[in-house]
Amino acid sequence: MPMQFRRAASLAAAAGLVFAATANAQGTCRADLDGDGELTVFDFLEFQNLFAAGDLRADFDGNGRLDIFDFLQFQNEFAMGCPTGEIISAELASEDLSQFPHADYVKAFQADRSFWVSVDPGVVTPPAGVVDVYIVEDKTASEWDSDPSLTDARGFPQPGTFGGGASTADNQLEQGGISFLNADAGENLGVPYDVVIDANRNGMLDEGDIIDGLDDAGLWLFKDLTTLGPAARTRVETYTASFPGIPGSRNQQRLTYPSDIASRTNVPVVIIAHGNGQDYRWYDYMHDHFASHGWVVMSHQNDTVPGIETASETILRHTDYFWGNLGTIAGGVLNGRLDQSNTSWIGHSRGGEGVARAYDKLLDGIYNPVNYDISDINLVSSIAPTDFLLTTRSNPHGSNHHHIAGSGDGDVNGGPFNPIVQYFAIYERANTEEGDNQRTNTYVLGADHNDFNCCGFNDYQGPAALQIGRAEAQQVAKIVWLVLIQNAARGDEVSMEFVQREKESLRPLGVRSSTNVVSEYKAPFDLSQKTIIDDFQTQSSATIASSGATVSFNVTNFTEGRLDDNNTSFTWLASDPMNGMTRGNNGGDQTRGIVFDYSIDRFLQYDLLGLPLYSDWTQYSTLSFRACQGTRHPDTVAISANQTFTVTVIDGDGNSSSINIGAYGNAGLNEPFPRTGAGSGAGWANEFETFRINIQDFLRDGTTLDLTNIDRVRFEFGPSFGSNRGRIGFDDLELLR
Amino acid sequence: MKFLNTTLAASVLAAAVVVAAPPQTPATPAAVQDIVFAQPFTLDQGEVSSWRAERPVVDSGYIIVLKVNPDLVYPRQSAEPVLYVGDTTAQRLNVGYRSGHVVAIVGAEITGDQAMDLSKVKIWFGTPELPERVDANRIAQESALADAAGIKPFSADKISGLLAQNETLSEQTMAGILDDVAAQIRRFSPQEEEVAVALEASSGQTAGN
Repeated sequence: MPMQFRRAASLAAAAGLVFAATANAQGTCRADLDGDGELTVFDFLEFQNLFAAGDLRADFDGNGRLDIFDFLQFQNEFAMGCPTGEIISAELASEDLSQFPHADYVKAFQADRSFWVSVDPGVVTPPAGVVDVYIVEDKTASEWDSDPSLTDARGFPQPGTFGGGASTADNQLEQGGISFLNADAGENLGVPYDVVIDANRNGMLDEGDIIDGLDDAGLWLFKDLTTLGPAARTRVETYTASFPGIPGSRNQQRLTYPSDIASRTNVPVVIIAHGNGQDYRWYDYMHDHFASHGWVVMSHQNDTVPGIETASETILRHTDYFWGNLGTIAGGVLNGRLDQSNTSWIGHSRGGEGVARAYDKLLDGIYNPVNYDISDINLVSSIAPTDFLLTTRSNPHGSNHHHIAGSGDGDVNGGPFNPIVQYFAIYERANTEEGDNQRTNTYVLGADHNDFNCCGFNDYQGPAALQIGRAEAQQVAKIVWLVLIQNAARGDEVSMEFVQREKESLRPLGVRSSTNVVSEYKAPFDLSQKTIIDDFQTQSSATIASSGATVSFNVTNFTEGRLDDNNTSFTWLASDPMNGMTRGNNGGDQTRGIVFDYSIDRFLQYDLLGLPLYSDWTQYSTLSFRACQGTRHPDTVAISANQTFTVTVIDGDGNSSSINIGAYGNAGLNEPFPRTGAGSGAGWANEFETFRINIQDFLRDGTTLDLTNIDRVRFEFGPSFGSNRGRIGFDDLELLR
Repeated sequence: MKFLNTTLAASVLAAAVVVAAPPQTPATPAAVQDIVFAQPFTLDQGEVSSWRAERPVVDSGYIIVLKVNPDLVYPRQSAEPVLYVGDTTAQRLNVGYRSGHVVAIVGAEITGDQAMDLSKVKIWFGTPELPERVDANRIAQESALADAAGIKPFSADKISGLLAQNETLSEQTMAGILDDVAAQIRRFSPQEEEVAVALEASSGQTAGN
C-alpha cells in the first residue's frame, strides 16, 4: 500500500481555499507482495513462489542472490507492517522570530547558527509528548517511499517536546548540532536536507510524522560562500586579443579556468571589464573565486579614458574575440567546454556603465557581434557605475541586472551634485520593460570605490569607524556574485535568499556581523508571474494606484513623483521632497515612487476589493515592496535608528492580520549611512531595501483571514505600529506568484 | 540593522572623518609643467583613434612625456581634464599620478606643410570631459581658453633639443611603438611597471598568444 501523505496548509486552506488536502506518494510497501493493500498469509505464499522461481523480487536484502537472509528480511518487514496512516508534509525549518508570525519558514541556512523546527498549530496539530527531530540527507518522495528509515545526518536525532499552545511560538524546537552537518557543497553552494518530526519515535517516516522536504529539500545548509571552491585553477597571465576595433594598446586579456577543464562541459563564463585608471589584473580575487567554483573567468583591458562609448566597444569586441578564438586561447583547452549562453559581464565604474551601454548596443543593433548574441549575456553586473550617457544609452533594459556600490565611495559617490556619479541610476533603468529577468542591488555600507579591486587608491569618505575595508567589501561581493551567477547559470533559486532576505535574517558566513549590506531585489517584470498593485509609473493620481486600486492615506507630506533629488545637496529642504533620491537622473529617467512622513499613528492603504486579480491572494506566494528612510529629514534624524512599521491585510469580512516589518531579523528600514558632505547634516543617499513577506505568514497561529477575498492592504506607521516617527520612501508594491 | 547606539553614533558624527578624500580636480585650463621627452613616429598602417569625436586614423605623430601636476591626472571615473596638444587631443598611455609624468601619443603629421611643430603648439589640460566627445569645435574653444589663461608653447630650443635625442620611429602598426612607450613609462613613471608590462605584451615583446 502506498504511503499516505497529507500536505498541510492553513486553516483557511483546510476549508478548501488553498491546496488539495491529500496526495499519494508513489511507491509501495515491499512486504505487500500481492499488492492487495494488506499484509496477509498470501504475501508469505507469494514470497515462497517468487523465491522458488528464482525471481529477484524476493531478493529482499538486495545482494543479488536468493537465500535465507532474504526470507529473514521479508519476515522483518512483514512484522514491522506497512504504514497505514497519514504522513504530513509541512514547513518546519525556520528562523525564530521574536514576534508574530513567530517563525520565518525559509530554505537557506548557514552552518554557524542553530535553526528552529516550528509547527504552526494553525496548520498542523503539534505531536504530543516527546518526539525525535531528524535532519536527514535529502530524499525525493519516491526515495522516501522505498526507504522510510530515518538517519539523522548529525549522528543522532534531537528529542524534544512541543509546548502544544495555540501559537507557533509555543511549538518550536531549536536544533543544535548544526556544525555536525555537512555543508561542503563542493562547487555548489549548499547541501540539501529534509526535516522530519518522528512523532512515534520509531526511526521510520510513517503515520503521524511530519516532514519538511517531501518533494524538494526542507532546507539547504550553505557553506561559507566567501571561501574558495575545490577546483584547482590555471591562469594565463596575459594574452593578446587581436580583433577589429580593439586598440593595440588595449588588447590584453587575462584568463583563469579550472585545471580539469578537459573533463568539464557547459562551463559558465564571467567577463570582467575594469574602470578608469584601473587594470585588468586587479580582479584576481574574482578570477580565483569563480574558477575555483568551476567557472571560466576572463578580464580584459578596457579603453575607458576616452569615454563610455569606447569602453563599451572594447567590452563588446573583447567578448567577440573570446568566443571566436576558443580554438587558440590557452592552447584551445576551452574549446567545446563552455556554455556560451551563460556569459556574465561584470564592469567596474566606467566599465560598469560600459557593460550597460554594451548591452544596449546589442539590443539596438548598434553592435552586431560576430561570435555571440545578446541572448548569451545572462548577467550584467555594474560595480559603482558612472552615468555619462544617461537614460537612453546607458540602459541595461531587460537584462538580468545587478548593481553593487559602497556608501563610502569617494569617486562614483552617489551624491546629488553630479549626475555622472549617481550610481543607482542605471539600476533603476533595468527591469522596467516586460521580460523574464530580475534586478538586484547590493549596497555595501562603509565600502569605497576601489574596495572592489585589489589596487586602486583608497578613496573612502565617511565616518572612519564605519569603514569596512577592501577585504571585507570583497567578502560581500564574492557571495553576491556567486549566488547571482549560480542562479543565472544553474537556476539555483534557494541561494537567492542571500540577496532577497535582509542581512539580519541571513547573515552570511565569512562576513562580519557588524558589516551592513542593504539589498534590493525586483522580480522579473513578467505579468504572468507577478501583479503590480502600485509602482507609481502609470497613474500619477495620489489616490489611484497603477493597478486601479483606490489609495487612501493620512500620512503627512505625501508626495508622488520622480525619484530624483531636485538639487545638488542632501540638506533637507521642504522644497525638495525627494531629497536623497539619487535614482532617476536628469529628467530622462522616469522611475517614480512616493515619500511621506508621520509623527503620530498614520496609515497608507490600498483598497483591492472588486479587483479579482488583486484581491484573491491564494494565487500568490509573496507580498513585496521596497522602502527607505529619507536622508537628513528631521523625522529620520530624530529616531536615528532603523525604522519599523506594520503591514496589515484585511479581508472582506473585516478579519485582519498584521506583521511588523521588524519581525524578520529584528531589522526594519536601515538608517541612512551617516556620511557628511553635500550640504549640512549627516546621511547619504536613500537606501531602498526590498521586503518580501510570505503571504502564508499572515495566517500563522490559525489567524482567520480569507485570502480569496482580500479587501485592503494597509501600511500603518507610528507609535502603535513601530517607530514613533519617520520619513519614508516607498515603491513597487507587488504580489508575486 | 542599527549601526551604533545613539551615544556612539553621536560621537562618530562628531568625528566624521574623511579618511582619504581624492584630490580636488585643479582648475583648468592648466599648463603642463614640462616636456621631458619627444620622439616622432610613423606607421605603415594607421589605427583609428577613439580619443576625439572624429575618430581620425593615426599613422604618424609623437610620443611625448610630460611633467604634470599629479592632481590633474588622478584617476577618476567622472570626467577628467582633457590633455590637448595644439589642435588635437593626446592619447594618455599611463596614469601618472604617482610619478607626475604622463606618457602620451599625439597623432599628427610630422612632415610637410601640415606637420605639427611642437615648439609652436600649446600643451595643456582643458575642461574635464570625455575625449571621445571632443571635436574640432570644442578644441578651438578650449584653445581659446588656454590662450586667455596665458598658456604658451615650449621654446623651440627645448623642443629641438628633445627631438635631437631621438630618431623617428618607423613601425608597421601602432603595436610596434608600444614597447618604446613602455620604455618611457619605466623611465619616467617606474611605479607603473604593470602598465609597461601590458604594453610590451601588446607590442609582442613578451609572451602573448
